[in-house]
Amino acid sequence: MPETQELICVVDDDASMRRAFGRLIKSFGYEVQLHASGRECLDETFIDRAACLIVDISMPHMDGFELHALLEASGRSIPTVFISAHEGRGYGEHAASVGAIAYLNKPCDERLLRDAIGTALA
Amino acid sequence: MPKSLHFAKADVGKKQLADEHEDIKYKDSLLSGIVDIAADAIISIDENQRIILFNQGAEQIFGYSAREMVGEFLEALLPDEIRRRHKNLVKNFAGSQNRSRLMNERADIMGLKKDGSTFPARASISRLEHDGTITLTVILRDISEMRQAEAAAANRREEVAHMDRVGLLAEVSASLAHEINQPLAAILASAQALKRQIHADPNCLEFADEAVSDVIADAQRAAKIVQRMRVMMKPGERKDEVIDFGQIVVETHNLLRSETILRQSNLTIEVAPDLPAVFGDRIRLQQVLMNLLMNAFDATEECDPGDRHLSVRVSNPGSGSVEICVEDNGVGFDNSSYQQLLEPFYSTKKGGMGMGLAISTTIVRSHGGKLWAQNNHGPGATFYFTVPLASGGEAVAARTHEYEHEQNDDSSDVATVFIVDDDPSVRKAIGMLIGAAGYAVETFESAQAFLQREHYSGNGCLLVDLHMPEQTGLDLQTTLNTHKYTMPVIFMTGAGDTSSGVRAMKQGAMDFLSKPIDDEVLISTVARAIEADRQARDQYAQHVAAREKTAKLTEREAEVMDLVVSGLRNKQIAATLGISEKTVKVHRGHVMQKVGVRSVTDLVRISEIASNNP
Repeated sequence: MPETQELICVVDDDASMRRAFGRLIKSFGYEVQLHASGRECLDETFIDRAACLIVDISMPHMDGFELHALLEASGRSIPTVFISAHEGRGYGEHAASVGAIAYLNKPCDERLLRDAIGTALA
Repeated sequence: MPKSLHFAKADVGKKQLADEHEDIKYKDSLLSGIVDIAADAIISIDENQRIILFNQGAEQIFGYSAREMVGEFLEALLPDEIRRRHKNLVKNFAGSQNRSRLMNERADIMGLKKDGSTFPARASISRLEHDGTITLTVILRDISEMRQAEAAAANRREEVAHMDRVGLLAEVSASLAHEINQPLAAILASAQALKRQIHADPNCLEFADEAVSDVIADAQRAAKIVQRMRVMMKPGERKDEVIDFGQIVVETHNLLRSETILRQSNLTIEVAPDLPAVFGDRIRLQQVLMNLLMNAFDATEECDPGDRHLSVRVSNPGSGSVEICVEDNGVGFDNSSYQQLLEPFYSTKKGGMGMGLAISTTIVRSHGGKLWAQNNHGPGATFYFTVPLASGGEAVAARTHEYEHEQNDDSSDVATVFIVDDDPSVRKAIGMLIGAAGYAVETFESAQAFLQREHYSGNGCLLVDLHMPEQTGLDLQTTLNTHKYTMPVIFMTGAGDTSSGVRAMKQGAMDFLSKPIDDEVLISTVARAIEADRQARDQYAQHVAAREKTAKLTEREAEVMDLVVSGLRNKQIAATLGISEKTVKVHRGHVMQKVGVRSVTDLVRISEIASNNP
């Protein structure tokens, strides 16, 4: 278990997905914050404390890429892991081009998620 | 010239006679030639319904030679079940003044071949009276090929509609994969988290409970999506039922939820409160709505993301139909191509087959509704369609409300659902669910336990597990059939055991449900069974009442009634029965009085109900 509890933020519009990631990341030994939308996430102040952002790409109103762009534009550069249940829509390439830590397909194994978070915190 | 003309005239007189004779002979042979080569069966019978003419067409159709058939009774060419009725019909016709009529203006008549097979036929009969002898001639055509062609055409329509549904699903397959991946991902993450937690703290009960609850909910969610897809993919015949269109809208909205996000569109739905029920096929109506929505998605593709607006509104304009409109703010359509728009193989889409709208039009029309479209005043277009209300639609809606609000009406009108399942937890769960829907519930642990109960004759249905030790559900069904239980039976089968379900259906089961059973499906299936039982009961009660009335008639009166019902006038009845017209009138008066009707129409109805045992 890491000494200090780093804060990981999860943004996903699917409630049970959010809770499930919350459980898993907590079991890795991190502190977790869950958000249902990009807007909700932007409104929070502790986002500045976040060591890593896990963002679902396809969400209504504001998608994951938009959220990432907005954060970057406002000078808050947080290591980001994109996730999506859609395959082969060029998401991986786009994620790489905007400097993401990783792009993961849902369902994704815990090992991949833990490795991605590990890379983000390194 | 005049002289020779005169001479010639006398000569012509003789010649003419000879000619006429020749002519008649010629016409005769021509006629019998035509009769012989006609592809239709031409069969003449005498007053006793004995065959006197049997042409080549008849030989070919029935497989008998003329030599075999001439002198035989016509009924040899009819299957048993219609022989009697037909004989009377022909008898009545022989006595009537009609010159000719089609015998089966409404239904097909069946013919019986020499080899014992039967075939559908269309026949007309005509009557010739010559020197006091009556001859009837039947002209009959084998229409099995026509029927087959019709069935084939219906099949093709069905296939095309099915292809369209499969195509629709293919179009949204990416978003469906997403819809299924989502709960799978949640299940995986929760389960892996739980496993880690158990290793860290074996007493993490609270954590485990929460995680497992989510896993269950997610698994059900995934199963539901698969179920929705299966329903759409299923080829099959149309099954009309009373439905709440609001539910179709919600189902479709759920199916397209992810698609809406993926297409960066906004979809709003608005269903009028107190929407009356409609009558139709759930899957096909959903297919229409889905086609219109996919169209609307495509039409708004050119709009900026976030400015793609679709809406579905369902209302009851009070014209005997529910009206559904699908509006978008997309490109609209070219008014000059409006007609083509609704026709097959025309599409402004790049990819699709362009069948969607045409198929939708066909489906809507076959439901007795209309489909039309117009461009909006602003951007985009609106597509409309209507679906006629179920007869008594208001009442149906009202009744489901009653079920929701008044759980226990202690009058004996409450239908009873009998649950037979050897698994106590299933009995309890399903019992509670059905009880909550407003039915009385009785549960039994075995088929024997149910049969020991005193015979129930009220409104109800049976919900039976197919696989039980000792007596299986199918055995119970067989026993019930012999015990004169007419209650509808719904079977519950394990997943993947479709074959037993099908066998049960063949034995007369109402339906079968695969476990795990969805609540809504269970309740709607039970409601359908209860309604079917109620209708069958009503019909049977009417039949009994009609039988009681007609049983009061004397033999003569019954004869008169049959003839009145078959459309004969008093005079004809008198002639047929060999009694005076006045006597007929007296009998007729008695008949109307005893049966308790005022018009012949009512008499026909009662006599039909009395003779059709439901």
